Amino acid sequence: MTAALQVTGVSKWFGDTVALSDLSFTSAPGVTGLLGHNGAGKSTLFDLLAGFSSPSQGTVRVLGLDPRNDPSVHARLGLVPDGDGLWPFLTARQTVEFLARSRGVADPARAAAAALDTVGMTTPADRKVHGFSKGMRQRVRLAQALAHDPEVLLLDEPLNGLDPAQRRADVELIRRLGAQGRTVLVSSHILAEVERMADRVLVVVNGRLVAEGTPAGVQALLAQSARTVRVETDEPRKLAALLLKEITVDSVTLDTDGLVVHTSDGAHLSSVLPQLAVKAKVLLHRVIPLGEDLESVFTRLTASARGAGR
Amino acid sequence: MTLLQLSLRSVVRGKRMVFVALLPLLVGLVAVLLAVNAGDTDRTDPYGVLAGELLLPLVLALVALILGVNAFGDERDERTLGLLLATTLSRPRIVLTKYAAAAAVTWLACLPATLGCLVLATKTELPFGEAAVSLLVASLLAALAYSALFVLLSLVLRRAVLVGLAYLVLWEGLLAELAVAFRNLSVGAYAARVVGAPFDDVPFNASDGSVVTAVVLLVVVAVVGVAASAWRLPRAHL
Repeated sequence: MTAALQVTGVSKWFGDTVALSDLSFTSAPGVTGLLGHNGAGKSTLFDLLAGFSSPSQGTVRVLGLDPRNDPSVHARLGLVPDGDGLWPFLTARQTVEFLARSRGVADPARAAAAALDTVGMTTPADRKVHGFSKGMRQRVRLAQALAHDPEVLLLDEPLNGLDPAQRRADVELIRRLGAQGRTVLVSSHILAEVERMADRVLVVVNGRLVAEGTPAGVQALLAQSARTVRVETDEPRKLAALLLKEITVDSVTLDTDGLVVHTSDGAHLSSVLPQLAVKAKVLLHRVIPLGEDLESVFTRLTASARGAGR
Repeated sequence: MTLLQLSLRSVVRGKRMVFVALLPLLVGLVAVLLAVNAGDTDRTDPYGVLAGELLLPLVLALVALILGVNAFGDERDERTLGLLLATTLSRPRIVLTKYAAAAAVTWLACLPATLGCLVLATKTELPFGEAAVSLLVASLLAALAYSALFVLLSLVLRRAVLVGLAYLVLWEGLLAELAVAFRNLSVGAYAARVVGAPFDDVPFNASDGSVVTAVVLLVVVAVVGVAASAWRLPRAHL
């Protein structure tokens, strides 16, 4: 069986800006997480997969079709595009029904009702979208992607703007959709989120695919990497002396109201730091990861990926 | 909800519809007042000026600009274009439907002014039937041509309202007034030529050439504009 999503040697550039660079992957049934910081090229990839733009180089196939030349692919493809766009003058039900009809669903009214029920939006379904919270809007957007029962789902940051309870519910829903055998590609810039949904993770940095594997594997890769943590404490000197005895700590810099720790193993530091503080009776006011955001971790990953022969 | 219903709902909502509805209503009112106050003397000139120089090249053009530019402008601003395109609807059909909705509402919104002008036309020596057909056809063709231009403009440029306004004021307004050569490159002048069909000698600015030429050119502008928009939509980086 051919993979639902086949991206082969795809590059995309806008003028001088390279958005995607020689990206290749094939999907498997189940949830695939697309992890990358803002501007890494995730939405550009979704645009290509949905047929909204053509690759500057390479080929994109969705269910064996070229989505650029064949809008019929949308009968079998569900898309939650970037942002929170919805027609403000339509009700949730009208929105989902219209889009289901526009994708050739035989009974759009029933399909819309079922999809709205799936995302828990039955009660407000007949209210205008205009007054909806961001979470509710995202729900409607998810419902329209499900209404035509597609084999493939492309979800661009579907958890953005949701509160924790909604996030949990949607993570569950997305897992369930994957377990039903659908091919789900879901993007996020938060590793922990992707971890809970995906069987497989693609990490994209500056338009390049730099890592691919199970969430645990990618997690380990990230944990191994060096990181910098800022610690605010009442006794920086005392803590600094203790930290320097740890083998994973490379250096400690003191500043006005705290210290900056460079470590080769962030996971180790986060487990050892509270223990040290308790032992030394030092108060920790704040522990702030610096340069631990995905972007710098990814940059490092990119560098190592290049070192490995790219 | 179908694509046409969605397009129509999208066109007629919001505060701009107040402006779009009031402006032609005002012109219609002025026309009726002029008709009521007219004596038995020949009132050909006010009719010509109102219908040929105010209604079509200015009022209807403005309404077409506001509605045409927003046909896709709203989809862009509200970020719904991704949803609209994530359907099996053919791209030409999406363009054609949104365009048809904008053009139809443009023509309907201007109908009070058009009818007002026709009331005024009864006070002229023009054969009424001929004047009525000319004006109704001219306003329909102008709505089709202007809407096609402005839908296309919004798919090509981000600042389509400003550029469209500049085009109407400078190109269609000023240049067409100044030189006959420019007048023959103005949608408004061709529409005015159709309005002027019943006149022996058109008493307002209009294109040279025959009425048939004017009709054909307006249709060509509409068809080419829509075709270009259909080509452009999948390529527009909105």
